[in-house]
Amino acid sequence: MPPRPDLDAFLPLKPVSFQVLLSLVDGERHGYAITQDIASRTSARMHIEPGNLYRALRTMLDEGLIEESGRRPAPDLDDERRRYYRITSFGRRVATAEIARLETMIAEAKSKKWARAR
Amino acid sequence: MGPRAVRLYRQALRLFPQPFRRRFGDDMAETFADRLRAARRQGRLAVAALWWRTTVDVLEHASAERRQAPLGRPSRGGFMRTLLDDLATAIRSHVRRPGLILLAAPMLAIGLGFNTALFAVVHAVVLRPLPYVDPDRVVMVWTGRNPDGSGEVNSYADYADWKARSHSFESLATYNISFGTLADGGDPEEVGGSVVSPEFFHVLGGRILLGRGIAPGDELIGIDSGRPIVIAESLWARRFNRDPHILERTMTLAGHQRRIVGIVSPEFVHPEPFWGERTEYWSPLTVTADMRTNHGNHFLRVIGRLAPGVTLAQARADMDGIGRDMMNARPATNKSSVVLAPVANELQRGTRTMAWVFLAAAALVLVLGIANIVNLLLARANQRRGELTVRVALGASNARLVRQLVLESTIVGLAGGVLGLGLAEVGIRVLLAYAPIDAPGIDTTAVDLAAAGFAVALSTVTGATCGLLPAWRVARARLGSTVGQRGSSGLETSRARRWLVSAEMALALPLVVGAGLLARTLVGMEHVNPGFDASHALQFRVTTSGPRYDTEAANIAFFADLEERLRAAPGVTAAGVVTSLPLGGLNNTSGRIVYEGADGISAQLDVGFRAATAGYFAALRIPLRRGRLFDASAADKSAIVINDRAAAEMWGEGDPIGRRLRFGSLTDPTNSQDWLTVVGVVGSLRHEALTRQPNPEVFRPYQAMPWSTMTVVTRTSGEPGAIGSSVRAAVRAADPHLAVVNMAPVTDFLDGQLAAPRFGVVASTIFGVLGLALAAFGLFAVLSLSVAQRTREIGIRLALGATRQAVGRLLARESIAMVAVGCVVGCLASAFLTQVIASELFGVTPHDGLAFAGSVGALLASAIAAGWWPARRAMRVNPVTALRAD
Repeated sequence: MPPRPDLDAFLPLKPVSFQVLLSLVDGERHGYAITQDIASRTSARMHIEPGNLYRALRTMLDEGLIEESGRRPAPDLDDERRRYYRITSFGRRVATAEIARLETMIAEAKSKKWARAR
Repeated sequence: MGPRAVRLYRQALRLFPQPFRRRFGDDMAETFADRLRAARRQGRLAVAALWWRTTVDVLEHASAERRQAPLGRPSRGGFMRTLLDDLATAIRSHVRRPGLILLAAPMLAIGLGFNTALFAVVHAVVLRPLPYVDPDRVVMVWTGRNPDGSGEVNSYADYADWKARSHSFESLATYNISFGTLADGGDPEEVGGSVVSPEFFHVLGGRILLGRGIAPGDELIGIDSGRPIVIAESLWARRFNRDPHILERTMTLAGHQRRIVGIVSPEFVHPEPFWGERTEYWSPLTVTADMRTNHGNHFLRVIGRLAPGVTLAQARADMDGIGRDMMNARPATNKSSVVLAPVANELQRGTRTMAWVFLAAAALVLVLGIANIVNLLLARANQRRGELTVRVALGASNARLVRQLVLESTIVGLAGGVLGLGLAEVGIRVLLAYAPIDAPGIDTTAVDLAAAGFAVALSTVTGATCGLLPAWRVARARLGSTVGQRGSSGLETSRARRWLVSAEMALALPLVVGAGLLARTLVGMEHVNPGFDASHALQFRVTTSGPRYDTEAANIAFFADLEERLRAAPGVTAAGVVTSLPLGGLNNTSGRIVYEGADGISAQLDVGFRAATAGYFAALRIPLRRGRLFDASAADKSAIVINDRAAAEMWGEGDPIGRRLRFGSLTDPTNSQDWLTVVGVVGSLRHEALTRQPNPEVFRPYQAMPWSTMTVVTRTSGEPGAIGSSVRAAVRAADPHLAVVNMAPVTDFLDGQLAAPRFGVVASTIFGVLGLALAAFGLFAVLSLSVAQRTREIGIRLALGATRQAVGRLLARESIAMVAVGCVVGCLASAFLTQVIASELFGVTPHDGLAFAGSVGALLASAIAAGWWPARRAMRVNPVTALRAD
């Protein structure tokens, strides 16, 4: 594996990228399954159109956050033209770092007793 | 599922850069297919939403990806790439601020829908060539034009002269409507047909499916010795089960054995501009001695094929010369020269005028829509000065800005076009269901590929047009403007918008005036007294046929018996027979009579003549003015009843009773017709149309003219439909072999007369209301924006002591100028445009004061309604808030 650039260079993650990583934490998924998962997890607050999704996937593949999975489900279960994606260990680290960043921000906000006051 | 949709999506994916497409194309298509499946489960709306979201997504991200793609090939498709970028920007701009497109697209859709629907009609009726060989070379020939524009029918003697003397025709045919009862192959049925001269099928160019057409000499074969007849494919199928060995077999028509010699193909359109019924047989026209010599006996249509190399103009000149010669030679019978017109014009005469008028109205509605959208875009461009200035600062060229604005409005146009196609589909269905249009091909009207193409082209042009003026202004303003300068250009823009509103008012007014004139026409027609009482009257036609009716006495006996039985039938209060009913579309019996004038000198007059029984006058409640009606006795065979128009024409104020007249013309020294004595005068009735004055008419007793086809009229005290079965029973009892044809209440004829004006009123009212609404919207938009922009000014005025009424007056002054200019120009335009529909008007002139005043009133009312809300807002401005705002 080529040396990874600094994690911080990826932060903050774009909302789409972050959601994609969250979807893939549970396991491999194909494109449509990712949008479905994001829609159900966010109660349809976030609707990702394919053009948007695949551009994000392209960037994330290029950056090594995710990779294509060689595995396929049993052929009778699915169309073999579908590509499946899985998170890389680097992607996992970036996601963790993003979560940590968000937690810090929320903690800061809460310490101001502002978040709760609202 | 939906492989076509997925293919379409794949095509759309080509907008992405190729490497991206290679990598993800299949996958994206799969995803799309999944989403389409899911959407289809939720219904059409979800599918539509998916397409909309997908379109936006592809356009937006494809252009973004192309911009980002590191390798890029800027040389290839540099223009396409920026175009895609601009398209994506334009779409984004609509998605982010959907207000404009949501308002503008439906507004354009109305105009585009109307235009598309009318295009479809014109395409189906006017642009489709008639099914003749070289239909452009086929012309109809008339003795003159009737006031309603229809052609005046011809005499055989004139036709024979034209044929002998003209050099313009390859061949010239004459023909007339006909009908007869067909006895073979099922229940007796009356079929419509035509008697034609031998040239007929040659003039029109065949379309014979089997056998041959009518040939020279056919008319010389005796009517009972197998005189040839040609039948339509529909009749062949209905009555003879498409028997391939039909030729040379006989069929019994009107009681005569006729030899079938040919079948005419179903594509053939019989050139009959008046007759509403299907023509299903063609029989040779027999020429009597009287027909050869009597130039005043007008009853034939004439149709000709121009000789090779002869233009319509040359043929017209040729025929006009002959017509003038004949006028000089026979001034009594030949009162006008000859009219030549292409057959398509004659068959589509009514439809053509209507199509053009409606097309013009639809175009006006579209232009009003365009004006409103230009108005909105001008306002929006003004609001977007900031954004546009930034783009200029970032190096966008003029061309690029203009292109983007035009693209934006083109998208609006296309969205309107798509909606408009839907409207057109609905509109055509409504039109076909309700419009009284009877033209060949009308039933093939549909939103087909041609109509869809028309809609797309029109909406693209429309959309682009809408964007041009605002774009031009932006481009021009840019030359002098710098960031933050709000000076004169805004003022200029608002001046342009005011002009637009005036123009809208001016365009809307003719639509309203047209609706008013047609409404006045309808009211006028509804109040016309046709001269008879159609209510409670039921009519039908009976044709005696078979050897039983070979003698006149048998026919006389049959109809006398039928009348007796009808009078005895339950619910019937009066019954009688006549050769043709008023307003029934049949006016095939007219001729010339010679009468003894008051001063003892004979004179002549053209009259309509009918045969009737006394019961007919009772059944239609035609009043007897003087004398008596004839009875069925042999003594009354030489009695005649005339209407009061005829009495006035012939004897003025004098008493016509006892005076004598006879058929024929003064110039005919060999006239051997019997003299008839006037025994009574009845009220005149409008026979040809509600809008035509009554003609002089004479009535002979049926026993003097015992025709085989008669219209029977019965009167009842209740609903005419209720006596239908007892009337049928009476006919059956009189002769079970005869057919009852076209049974209908006589009021149907009145309704038939009113159908076209009623449709005109409904259609023109829709156009008028739409026009007013669109113009009012334009005014509303301008005033609203003006109030919004001038909140500060209004605040200052109020703060300085102006009353709220003064503010209201300020706004009123502003709108009055716009409305007044619109009214004046609109009235002038209307005065000019209403000439076009002058022929459709009745009882009202094209410059009717009431219609004009009412329309101006409606325009003012809608202007007041449009100004109400902005004025209220202006009067409620709070000076404190207004001054603090800036």
